[in-house]
Amino acid sequence: MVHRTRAETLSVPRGLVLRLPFGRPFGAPGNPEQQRVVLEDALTMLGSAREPGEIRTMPYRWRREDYGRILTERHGGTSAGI
Amino acid sequence: MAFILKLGEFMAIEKLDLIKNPETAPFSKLQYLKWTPEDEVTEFFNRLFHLNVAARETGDWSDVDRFLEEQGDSIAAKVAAPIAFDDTPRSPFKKRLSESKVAVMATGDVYVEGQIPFDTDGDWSYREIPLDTPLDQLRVAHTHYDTNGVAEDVDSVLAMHRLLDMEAEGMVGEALTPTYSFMGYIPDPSGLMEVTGPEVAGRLTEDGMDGAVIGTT
Repeated sequence: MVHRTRAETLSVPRGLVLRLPFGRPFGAPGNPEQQRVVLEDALTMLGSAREPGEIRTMPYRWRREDYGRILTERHGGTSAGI
Repeated sequence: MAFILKLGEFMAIEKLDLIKNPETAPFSKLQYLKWTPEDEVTEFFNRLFHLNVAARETGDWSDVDRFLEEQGDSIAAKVAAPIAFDDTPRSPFKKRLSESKVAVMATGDVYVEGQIPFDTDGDWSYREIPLDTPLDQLRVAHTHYDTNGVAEDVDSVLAMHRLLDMEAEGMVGEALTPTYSFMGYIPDPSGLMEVTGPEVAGRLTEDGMDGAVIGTT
C-alpha cells in the first residue's frame, strides 16, 4: 500500500509500503517484472513477518529500478520466466 | 493539480497534470491539498519553494522528494483519517509458499462484464473474479483514483496473471480462483466489516486458502 501511516492505524496483519503512485499498488501497467517483484515480496512477507502488524517499506523506485535484474538475482539467472 | 513546467520558444506554457501523471509518484498524493485549510496550503508551498531553491543550488533533490512523500501521507491522513483498531489480527503462516494456496485480491473496483458495476459513491459489496477471465471481459468502476493504469493492465491493480505465473513455475502451490474484488472508496465501512468482509473471509477459508495479498487503492 502507499501510506505507512494508514497501514499502522488500520493494524494490518502484515503491510508492504511502496513508493508507487496511488492506483498502481502492484506496479506500472505493462511492467510485469515490477509487478512480479512486488507480488513476490508481499507473498514472502506472509511467512517472514516476525510480529503482528509488521510493516516493511520497500526501497524500489517507480521508474528507475531494474526489476528484471532484481528477478534475475533472485532466481539464479532466470528472470522468473517473464 | 497542474504546474507550470517549462517555457517554450514562443513563451508557450506547457502544463502537466501531475496528479494524473503516474510517473510523478510523489505528487500523486497531493490531490488531497484541495481539502486542506488555506493556511496549511500556504505553509506547504512556502516550504516547497525553499526546498526547491536549495535543491537547485546543490543538485540534490532528495529533501524535496522526502518532503513531498511525508506531506502526502500527512495530508491524506488528515483528510480521510482511517478507522483505528486496538488489536492486530494475524494468523501464523507456516507452510512453504510452494505448497500453499494463495489469493491475490484488490480494492480497485475490478469486475467482470455482466456483473453489476460497483457504486462509485461507496460500495461494500464484492465481485468474484475467475483468474482465467479473458482480459476483454474485465471492467473497472471507480472515480477516486486514476484508472488509466488498470484499464491498460489489470495486473497493476490486481496481479492475477503474475500469481498464475508463480503457480506455473511452482513458486506457489496453487493460485486461488475465483478471487475477490472490492471497492476502495467506502465512506461507511460498517457493511464491509460486518457482512461482506466476513463473507469473503469465510469463502476463502472454505476454498482452502493459506494466505492472501491485497493490493489497495
